[in-house]
Amino acid sequence: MTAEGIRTQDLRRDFVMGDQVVHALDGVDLEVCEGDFLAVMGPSGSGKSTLLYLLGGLDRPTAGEIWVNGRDIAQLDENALATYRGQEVGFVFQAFHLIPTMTALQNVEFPMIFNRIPPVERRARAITLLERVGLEGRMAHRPTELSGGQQQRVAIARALANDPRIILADEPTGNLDTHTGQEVLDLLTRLNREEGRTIVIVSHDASVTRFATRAVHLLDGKVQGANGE
Amino acid sequence: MTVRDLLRLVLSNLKRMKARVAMTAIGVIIGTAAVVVLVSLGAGLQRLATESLYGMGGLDELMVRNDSYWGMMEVKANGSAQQQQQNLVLDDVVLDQVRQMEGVIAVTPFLDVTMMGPLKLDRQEGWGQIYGVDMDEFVKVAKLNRGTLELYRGQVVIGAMVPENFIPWEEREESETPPEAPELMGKMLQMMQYTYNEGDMYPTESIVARLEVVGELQQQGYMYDYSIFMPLKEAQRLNQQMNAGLPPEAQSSARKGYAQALVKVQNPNQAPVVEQQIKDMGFTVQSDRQELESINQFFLIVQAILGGIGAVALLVAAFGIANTMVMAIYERTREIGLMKAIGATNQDVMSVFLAEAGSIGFLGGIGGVLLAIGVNAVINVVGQPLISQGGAGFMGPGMAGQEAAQTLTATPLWLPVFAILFATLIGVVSGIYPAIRAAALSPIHALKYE
Repeated sequence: MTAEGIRTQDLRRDFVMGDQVVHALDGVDLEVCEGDFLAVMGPSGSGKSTLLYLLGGLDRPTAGEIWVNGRDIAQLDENALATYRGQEVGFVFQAFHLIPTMTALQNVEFPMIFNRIPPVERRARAITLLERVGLEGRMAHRPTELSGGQQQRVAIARALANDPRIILADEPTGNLDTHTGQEVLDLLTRLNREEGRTIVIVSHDASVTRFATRAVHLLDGKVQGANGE
Repeated sequence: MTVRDLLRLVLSNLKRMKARVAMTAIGVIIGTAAVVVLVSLGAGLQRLATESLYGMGGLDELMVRNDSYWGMMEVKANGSAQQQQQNLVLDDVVLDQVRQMEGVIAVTPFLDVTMMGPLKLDRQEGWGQIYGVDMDEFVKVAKLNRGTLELYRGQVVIGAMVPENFIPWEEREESETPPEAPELMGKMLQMMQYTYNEGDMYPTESIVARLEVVGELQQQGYMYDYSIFMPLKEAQRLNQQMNAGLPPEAQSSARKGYAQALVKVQNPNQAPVVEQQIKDMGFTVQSDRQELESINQFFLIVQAILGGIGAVALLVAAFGIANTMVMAIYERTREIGLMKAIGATNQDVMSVFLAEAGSIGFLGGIGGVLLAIGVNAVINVVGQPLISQGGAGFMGPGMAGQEAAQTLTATPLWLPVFAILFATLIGVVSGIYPAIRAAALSPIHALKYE
């Protein structure tokens, strides 16, 4: 295999609920190649969000390996994992998670602060990114002054701030109407097709598969059926 | 994240919880102000006490005493127990030795003149201890206010407060305003001797000597202010005259050397060394420095207690800061999760919360110092009459002569700086627990927190 891309091996994540152990992920082997647009489908509780958080280094597996760009991120220490989250992946959430007191521009600049990008460069890059997601006229607006679709586009621009090769999206259309959701998916598709970024999107919305290059189905913490178009 | 970005982030976070930051900071303001005001008050009282007693210097002077001088005869009767002390004599030989010590610039005996009655200015009785001094040395220690230090036979120079002792008793008791002391310069003081013969109602008065006041010293400490000085030879002659009628063993000529002598050093820093050397010779040394040290020691304790009381208020405020920061964590849980998701390390999260808590402490510290300046001003206005009137009573007579330019509080320059730093530190310390809690949040749980 190549060093690029994502590969998991016998990935497990258990949660203890009272005296019961829930196997959220029960031995997932998954391979995502550089430039893939992967849709992870499945009903609520199938473990698809858990998988995404593990890939993004927001959570640690109970057992198994997660190889990203040539190394097992399950073995990284806290600081290395934080750097990984900041530089190698970009997150897009269902609830946008924009900072309400910051303008669109400041929200996009925020990840670059932790990556120690100098202010001038930071500002220039944030402006470019907001232009790319079509929000050139909304930079000084706060999240409350933006529509849901606009907020999600700010969040996508923020995910691109440190120029990661991998975008992880957790139900990005979940809080949006169908039309706006389509726009957001179009935007993610462009990032995949035009810039070659790897996209992993988690959704229970079947229409997402139309944009993806691949789809996998999770059920009870296991991958169902074969990979493919 | 850089310090600049951290401060900018902290500032915007504080801005959005303005009301709570303000209320939390008020606690710090009160605590800081309490510390500053109380310590200033302690320092002010210390200054009042020390300046009124030692304001005129004297830290370069040592009073050497021979404790066995007066007790000579008793020691003899008691036998050998104090044999060694018995031989101790403070005479010119010893004084010459002292004169050779490094830093010593003047040495003069203070010979007590035996007095058997008061001094009289015309009909008015007064008093003042007369000392015989080595005039060649005395000119190096005495600060002349007016007149001359060149004394001929029958002439004396008086301490600054001696005229006060010639105010009639009736005037002292009755008048509201302090009575004016009579002018002694150029006047003759009669040195009286009262002798009581058997069966007499009143003593027989006789004039022992007439002393012309030709000089007056500046106010320069208790040792000088209530004393009258004359040349050593004159004093010895007077003593012989006074002793003529006494039994031989009671005569002061039976005693060897002097009871006490004054030593002046060039620099107050040299005083402790000289003091120790003289002590090693077996004499007692009394200096203002020792008393000043014990007074300073006392006020250090006073200030520590007062500061401690203020610190209690600051301690309460610290819990206020901790509470505010814990509340902020609950409010911003999802934000903390997001920060972690976009690359913030645990240290980044911690430093944000520590800096926010420290900033509340810092703001409160600045506010507290400003408040303290105001409160101190009020205390000084309200307390001014206390110093200028009542103060003279309990602070000692030295103050009465001074202009009342004093204030009740004294704020050393380090105090406000220290107070602000301390308040900031208190803030940071109270932020430790919330900051650790924030940093320990699991990012996914934080992001899903409702």
